[in-house]
Amino acid sequence: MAEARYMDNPLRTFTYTGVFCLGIALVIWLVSDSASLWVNLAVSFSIGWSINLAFLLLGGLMQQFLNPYVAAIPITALGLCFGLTIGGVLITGSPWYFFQNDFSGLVLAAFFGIVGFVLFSTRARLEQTAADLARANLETERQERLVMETEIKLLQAQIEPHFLFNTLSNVAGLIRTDPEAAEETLHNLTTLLRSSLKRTREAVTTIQQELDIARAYLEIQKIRMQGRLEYTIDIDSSLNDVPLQPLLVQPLVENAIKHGIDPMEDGGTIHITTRANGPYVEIEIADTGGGPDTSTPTAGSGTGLMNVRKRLATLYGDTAQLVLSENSPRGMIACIKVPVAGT
Amino acid sequence: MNTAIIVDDEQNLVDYLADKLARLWPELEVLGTANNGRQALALVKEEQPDVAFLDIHMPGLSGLQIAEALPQDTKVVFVTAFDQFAVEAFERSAVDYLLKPVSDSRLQTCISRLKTMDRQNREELVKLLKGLVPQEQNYLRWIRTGLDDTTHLVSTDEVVYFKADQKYTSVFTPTNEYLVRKSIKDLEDELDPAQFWRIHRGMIVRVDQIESARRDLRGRYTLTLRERDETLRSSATYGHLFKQM
Repeated sequence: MAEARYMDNPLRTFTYTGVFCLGIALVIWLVSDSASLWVNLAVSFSIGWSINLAFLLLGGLMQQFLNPYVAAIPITALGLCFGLTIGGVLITGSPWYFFQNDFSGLVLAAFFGIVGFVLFSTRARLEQTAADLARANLETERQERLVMETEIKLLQAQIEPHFLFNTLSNVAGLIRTDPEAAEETLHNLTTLLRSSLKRTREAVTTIQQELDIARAYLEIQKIRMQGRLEYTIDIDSSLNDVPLQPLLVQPLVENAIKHGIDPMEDGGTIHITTRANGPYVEIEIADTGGGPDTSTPTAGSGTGLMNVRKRLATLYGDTAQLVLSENSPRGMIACIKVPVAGT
Repeated sequence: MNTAIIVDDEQNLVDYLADKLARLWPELEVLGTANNGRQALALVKEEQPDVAFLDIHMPGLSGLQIAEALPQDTKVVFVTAFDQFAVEAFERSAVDYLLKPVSDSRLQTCISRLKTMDRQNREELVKLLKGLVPQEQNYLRWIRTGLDDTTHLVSTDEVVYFKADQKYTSVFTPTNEYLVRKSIKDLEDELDPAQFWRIHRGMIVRVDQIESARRDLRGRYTLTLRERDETLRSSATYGHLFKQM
């Protein structure tokens, strides 16, 4: 629990208390004829400022043991007694005057102590509420910024420079030896580039479109990795037109290549499967790569996943899921589950 | 000087470079090619080439690691598609490198330099590589979670904090909570101490998830987190961690 601050600005609090005490002293002086104004002021101010002082000195310490509202009671009592003692000394020279001879001061002080406590704690509570509200606003702002940052990162990560240049080198290499494959690769690269430009503007695509992009990407990787990569895409064709947010499938496919298949000398296979599951659709990307125990350290394997998870949370709230598990005999399975109805 | 090897995990690119070399440096004999780090090391040992063209990114050992294992007299040319960090380092220390796709003119410059160069400054190269090759780290990267039959994997990159839960440990990510069949002590031993701090007998937090740390009078810290709403309390024993924050 957060620690409440009783006094953000001691000077201000002491001034308010002073005004309050002045008022009490005047009222008591006017309604009773017992003492002089000077005596009333002295007692009133010593009590008020003693209570302030007690909060200033003991506030932090007491909150270690008690909640802020309960802690205020003993602090007030302590300040009250201390103030009465000083008041007693000031008027009669005896610290016990108000505890032995004249109980009217004690009764009045206790009464105004409670009134003051209620007034000040209400004000503190109001301030606290205002502060909470400000913090909540700040939090909302931070969340929005986070979403934007994630978006930007996703956009930047769409076409990696390393992948782009590698693909172009492959095309350069293939032009003479296998012109058809070179042309095919250029077509696939065009599909990828076009989709990544389009996706910055489009909010929602369909499962089919997303899988076409994945296919273009995998075809290029197949050329690049030669015999080391095989892939299958197994679509439930009734799901083709189900709307899907972009940039959910693609990062997972890239992860499977980068951290799953590519680090393995003998490569592996990627299986993409879509299936309906009640009101949800599941898209599964399974690889037969190194899996979680691979000895090759490929840093940053979690960042792509984190981005997908954040995106799912932002776009679908609690209704979508990304689940990672181990493939058998080796490799990883990433499965996203999103509601068919969309967002 | 007239023998070379070409190492690249993409056979198309091996062929492409071999083809260009055959045209631009006809007297050069390509002794062999390799597609991964393991093959490359065997090839180097067997052939003792004068020049090695090494791709940086490869399965198994990277080109940088292979360069470290080369015989003293072999000259190295690194080949990369896009590797800003490495390329800047090569520039600074005058190590030869080629960018893919390799152009004829750039390759020609590289060839003439190789022909006139006596030998590469080995010490400088090794020093450079030490900075570029990532140190082997075997810290935990994936956590198997779940107590029933279905285990889910959670990347340590996603974890915000761990909390001891009797003999198990709860794992908190920005959106989820999982349970791990491992004590917090065992986890602490396997995690990267630069990334994860023990802040309490029963709590480990990911350092870059700490948004702020506020000290109270008893020396304990209250932490707010970047991607979770709850606040965490450190015990005074671990207070030294936050002194510099």
